Amino acid sequence: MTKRYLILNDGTSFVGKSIGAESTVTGEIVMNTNLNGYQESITDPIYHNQIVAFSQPSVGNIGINRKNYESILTSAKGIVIHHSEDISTSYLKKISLDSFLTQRNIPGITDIDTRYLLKYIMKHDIAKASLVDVNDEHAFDQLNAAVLSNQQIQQVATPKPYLVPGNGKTVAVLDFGLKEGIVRQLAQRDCNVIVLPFDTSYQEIIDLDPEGIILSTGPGSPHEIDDSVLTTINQLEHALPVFGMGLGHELLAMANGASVYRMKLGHHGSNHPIKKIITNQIIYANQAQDYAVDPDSIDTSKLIVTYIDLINGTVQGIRHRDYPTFSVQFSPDGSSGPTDSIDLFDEFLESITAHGR
Amino acid sequence: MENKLKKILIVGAGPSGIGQECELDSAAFQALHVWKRLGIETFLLDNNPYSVILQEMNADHVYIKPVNTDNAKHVIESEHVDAITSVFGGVNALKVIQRLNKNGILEENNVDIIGLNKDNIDLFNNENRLNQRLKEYGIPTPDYYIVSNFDELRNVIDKISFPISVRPLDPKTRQQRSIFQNMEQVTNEADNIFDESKSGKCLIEREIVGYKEIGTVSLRDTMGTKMMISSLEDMNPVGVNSNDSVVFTPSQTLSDTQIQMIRSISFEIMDVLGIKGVCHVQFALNAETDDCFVLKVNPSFNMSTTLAARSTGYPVALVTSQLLLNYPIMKVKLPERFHKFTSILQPISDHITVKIPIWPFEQLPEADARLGTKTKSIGSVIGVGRSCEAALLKGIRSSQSSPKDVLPSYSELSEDELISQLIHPTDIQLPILFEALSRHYTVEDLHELTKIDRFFFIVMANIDQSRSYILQHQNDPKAFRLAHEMGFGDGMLSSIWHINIDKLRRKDSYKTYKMIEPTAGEFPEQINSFYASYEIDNESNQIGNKTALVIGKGRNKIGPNVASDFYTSELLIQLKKIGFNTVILNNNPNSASLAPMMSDKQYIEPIQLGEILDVIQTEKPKYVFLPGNRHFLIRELSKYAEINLVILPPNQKNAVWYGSHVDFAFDLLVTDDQIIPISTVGFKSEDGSDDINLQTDYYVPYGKDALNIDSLVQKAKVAVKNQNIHGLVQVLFYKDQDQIKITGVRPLRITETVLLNMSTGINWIGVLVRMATGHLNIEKIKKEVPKIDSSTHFTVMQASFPFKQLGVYDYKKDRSLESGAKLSIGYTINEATKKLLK
Repeated sequence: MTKRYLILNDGTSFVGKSIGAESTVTGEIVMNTNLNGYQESITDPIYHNQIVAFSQPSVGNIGINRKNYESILTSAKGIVIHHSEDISTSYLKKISLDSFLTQRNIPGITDIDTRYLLKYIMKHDIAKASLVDVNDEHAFDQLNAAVLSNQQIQQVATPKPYLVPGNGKTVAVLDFGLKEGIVRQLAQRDCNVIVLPFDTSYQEIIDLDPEGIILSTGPGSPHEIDDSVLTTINQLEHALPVFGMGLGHELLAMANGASVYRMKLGHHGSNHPIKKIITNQIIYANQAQDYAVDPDSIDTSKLIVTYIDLINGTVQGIRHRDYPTFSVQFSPDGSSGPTDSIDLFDEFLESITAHGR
Repeated sequence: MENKLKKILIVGAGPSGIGQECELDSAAFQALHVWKRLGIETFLLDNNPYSVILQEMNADHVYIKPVNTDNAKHVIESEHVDAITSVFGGVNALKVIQRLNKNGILEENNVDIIGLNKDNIDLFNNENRLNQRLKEYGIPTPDYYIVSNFDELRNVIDKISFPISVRPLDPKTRQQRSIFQNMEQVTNEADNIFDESKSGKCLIEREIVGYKEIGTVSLRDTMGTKMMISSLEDMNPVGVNSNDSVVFTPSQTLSDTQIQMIRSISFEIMDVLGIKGVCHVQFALNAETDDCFVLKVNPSFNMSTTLAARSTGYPVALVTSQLLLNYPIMKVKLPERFHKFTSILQPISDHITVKIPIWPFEQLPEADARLGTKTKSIGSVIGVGRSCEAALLKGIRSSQSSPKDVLPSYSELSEDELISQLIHPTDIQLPILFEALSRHYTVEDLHELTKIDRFFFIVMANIDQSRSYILQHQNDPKAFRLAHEMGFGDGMLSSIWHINIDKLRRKDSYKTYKMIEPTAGEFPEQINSFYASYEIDNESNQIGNKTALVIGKGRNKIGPNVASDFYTSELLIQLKKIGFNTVILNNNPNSASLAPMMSDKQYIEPIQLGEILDVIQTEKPKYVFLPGNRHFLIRELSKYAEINLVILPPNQKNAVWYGSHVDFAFDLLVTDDQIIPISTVGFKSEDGSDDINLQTDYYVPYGKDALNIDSLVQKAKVAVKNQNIHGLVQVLFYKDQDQIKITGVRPLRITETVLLNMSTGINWIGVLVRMATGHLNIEKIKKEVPKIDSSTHFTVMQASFPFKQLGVYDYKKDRSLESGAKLSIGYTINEATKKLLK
């Protein structure tokens, strides 16, 4: 394996070995602390354009599996790991992480002290990183000069509507960079799923006669979304049950007048206790969060806060007082991550049933 | 909702043995700490002398009696306890509480069971009823059929495919399952199985040998909040008891979907059974189909919960002891050294832990060493590393009985023997697998023969290839670094390369210690538990100027090892009391010495010369305590002038023998200028023999017939004066007709030191620690020592042996084969001896 470097925008450099493609990339760097599910994370559109560093110590143990894609085309921009097992020689049918990354032209770096990296990133203001062959001045100049795209959502969201047929309720999913876990949950509940480009107009959506609306997860900033989408969301919640997740949650909050801010330190993992306010219970869920809804901006005559992260205090869920509309910041579908809140999908379908009466 | 309880009775576990070492004591020690802070009076029913809580609790709160229903009833009635718990007492304690519940004693006395729902308590230890209940909730358990004759049996077999497992219902003797591959085997054995059942019925299940066996350890609080502490993956598929399997934690070969599935099922089980506190669930999982079954539900502490705690750094016992009192997890308070969020963050690790079981077959070669569904191990060790390779190899190194950091070789084994060992694993399974790899067995071959996941062979093959590289690259810096990253020790390199270890060590300057804490670096503040890696960031620095390092015993074996583990913990407690920063190096996850509150800092590493020297280099301790008889380490560490080594108790090699018979003994405290007589000791063997090695019972005082104490004290003093043994010394006597002769003089052994603690009420380990560090006030001790043989009661300690559990009967009861001991106190020797049993 060839020598590679992970360099950070503050001038720090880590030496490691190459895994996957050997190209040079620059992007935002995030630490993912999930214990499992590296394939899900690498293929989750939420990490589009980002370099994902994993704190799980050994990545690649089970290769790449047919059931664990969160999307087919999109993926993280690069990965940073501590250690990887080469399983390619031993399982006939399985693709190893290394060959998967090579096929998808995703560069990676291994043999990194990811524990130190995590502590370092938490302490310092690190925005950008590059994976490079040489850690010279030129490389740092390039890194600092790089302008990161703000078009992540447009790059990963579906440009064309498509159907995932089922015999149950018809649910329209506005795709902001949808992870397949959401569709998987709907499919398991036999929903008839229509996935739509996120900028589909209110009338076009209503003409398809869906019984409920899902605002999907996605990468990047909610501020990059056009105000017209917020207007559509606002109209939709008057008409139908709406369920937002991740980016969809942030947009739903904004559509109801709340503001969303960029967190100083994002959180990507599933270890934080999330308090379900109504029962006073703690649940755990996969969070991949760089933005949060400002609790002070919430109009409490319209919205109720339903979940809260007990560690960083961020709003993790809201519910509309007047409409069957709710959203959560985390991923209730799991994949990867706990399924403690998977019943939110049932709750959504129940609200469709109740709404139809 | 919160705690209203004032008095809690802990039903203890009794003597340690197969499948149980010190993990329950370790958990109870932490609970005691918490409950004391919460103003709860804790009572203990137990007769295990090597128990830290038994030593540390107020004597008037400890009932030293066998753990049974009558004795528990007695404590309940005399102390008016509010609640009772079996979570620190294993299966026997649970049975006691089940009986107390059944016969109305709990209700009569208004006693709560903490942690378990009264209505469900009978489901535990009763596989059929538990499975039935779980099935009602749609929780997958193995399908089973009950049949009462051969025709019914055949009908069932038509429905399910071979292999099948059959076992008698209500067995006349002990429960035993048989696995059948074909109809012919069934036909031959069926009659026997029906005969073995009291009701003439037997139970048939689809055999799931070959499924992965996975455990989870989870917590649940009174609000229904649940958290998974860790997943535990057995290397061996179903068919080898989890206690006897190498275990990787967190699991390494499951997909996230599979992990979340078993996590959710574990939570559901705790919900439907109303379990509060800690729960260990064991699953069988078919990784191809995601099919899974619940094999075992254990709502209490055990080796798995302790492994989850040690490997994640999450303070399971400190939290559980509060959840048991109905505190919601959000209100749990931890000692200051923890981060305020530690208890509510679901643990994640950035390291891997491998558990290796320890078996007693070396000392009991007659026992059947083949691994199966019944536990045969007596304990375990762990290796912690940043990769599976390092964790596994460190674990293997820690599991060796030789202190010399070498691995056994099986290169002499014939091919047939090797294959037979691969198919029927025994205690030497791991070295056999390495031997097979070095003979160029492929990963696929090994997977076929063993059904072990290929992943583990990839890990082993990496280690094997590194070994070859290291062999070929003598003294090469790259090989040196590779070796360390893979978990090889300096001692190993020294012997592979034939280089003196000191010369070798001078090259090593890149070791980094990493914290074992449950947030993967997010909130690492103050959990002082470390393992070594070779990276860029070291997290462990010298804890202080006045430090004592205690070198733990590591792997347990039969013989007085549980006692020396207890001794290790007491050393830490006593050193702390006189103001030392205490540091422990150990790798036995079940050892109380590794419990979070037991020391200021813990290193979980192989206990080998290289690792010891590394810790000493970081901590620069004032004293290094080395408990137990460890000739190799004593010799090697004595070579370093800068190490202030304290050997406690002194090496048994210093003993002087004049004969081999013994009737009684005298225990004394010997300092530089004083000899203080403490007590007489009597001995008893099973067959009446007076052979010193066969004495299984010790009692204090001797008290059998009148002794001329003054003349004995004189004799003993003379005998001691001639020897250079300090600390606690035992002079052994033998009655030859009318004459009393001296059999020998020896440093008082660990087991008997514990007995002396109990009989005199003085913590002699504390005295020895003070003596070694110049803190002893000898005049004070003199005043405290009771007048010789003035005691109104007798204290008896009797060794217990693992022979029955291992199915061996040809061994003499020799204390070097003990697996634990029982303690008893009575007004006469007879009474005390009787109370060992009832």
